[in-house]
Amino acid sequence: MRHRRLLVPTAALWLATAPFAFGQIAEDRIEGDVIHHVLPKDRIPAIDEPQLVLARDAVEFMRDDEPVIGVVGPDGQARCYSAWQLDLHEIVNDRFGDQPYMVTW
Amino acid sequence: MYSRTKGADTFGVSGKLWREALVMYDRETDTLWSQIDGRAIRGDRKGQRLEVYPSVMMTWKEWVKRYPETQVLAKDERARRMTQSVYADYFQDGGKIGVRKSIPELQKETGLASKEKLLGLSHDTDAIGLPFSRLKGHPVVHAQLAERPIVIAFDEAADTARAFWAGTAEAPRTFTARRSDAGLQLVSGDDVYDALTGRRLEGEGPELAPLPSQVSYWYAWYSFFPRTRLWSPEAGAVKKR
Repeated sequence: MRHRRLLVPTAALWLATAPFAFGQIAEDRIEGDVIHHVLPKDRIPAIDEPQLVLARDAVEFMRDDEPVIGVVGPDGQARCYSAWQLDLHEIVNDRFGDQPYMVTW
Repeated sequence: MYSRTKGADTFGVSGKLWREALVMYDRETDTLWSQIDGRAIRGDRKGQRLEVYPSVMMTWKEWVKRYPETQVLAKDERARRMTQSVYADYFQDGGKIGVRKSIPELQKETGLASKEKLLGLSHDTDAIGLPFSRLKGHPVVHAQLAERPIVIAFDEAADTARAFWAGTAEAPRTFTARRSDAGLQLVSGDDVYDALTGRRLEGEGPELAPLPSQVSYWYAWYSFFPRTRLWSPEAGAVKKR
């Protein structure tokens, strides 16, 4: 009985640490959670110099059901970004006058 | 959506995922930043936090109805050809979540479907989540965030939700919902507001101040704000355990 109680946790510990001991997996963690290296940096290109057009010129390329992220600037100027388009870029570095902001998706 | 520090600082896509969400880097110091809570998690600026800039999600049709003078990000040829999200298959497959296959434990705890959308709100150390499935039939919800009264508008037709500060603890404001051709509206006495932008349409009352909020999959929000109080129509937003 005494042996069993000792054996179980020892085996569990070995199994949990074995891959590291053999150098098979190098897990990178931040605050205990794995950070997955999925793609090279900038493979998904952020937009740094966004070109903006007026709504009347956007009608030809925007669809009614297309989801957008909308934002209103300090001077009341409204601006929006298509979520479908953001799938390709994830980040837009933009500004309202001297107030820089970024859209993240 | 975040404010950037004034200057030349721009951000790029690191290609890494942490807690099932995008990790960004700043080009000046190469510090890594998490997208959901805007925190620097590795590098010279570790510990710093970005300031959230209020934004809202809705369909183009609903947005341009409210802001006919809006500016729009121009599209290149590839973006013009798109008729859906490139992740549409992923969104429709309830079994795939980020890089994990499933998160049964969390699902059991919350009772939420894996790809359920939620409006996430955080202020100081408090956080509330309002799952869209539970908001159905509740276009206006009153709650407290960091002990301040807030109001949440849920527009089922536009498939989006937004939250605003609702007066002060001493003098909370209450609202009712009204549907009009112009979209969902919030009404308080003589004051009428657009429920998704907070703009005053009638009356003399103050404009509604939007709370920084995010519409995201609940598990993404939850992994960053594990102490989130989940709202339900029966109990409101209750403290976790």
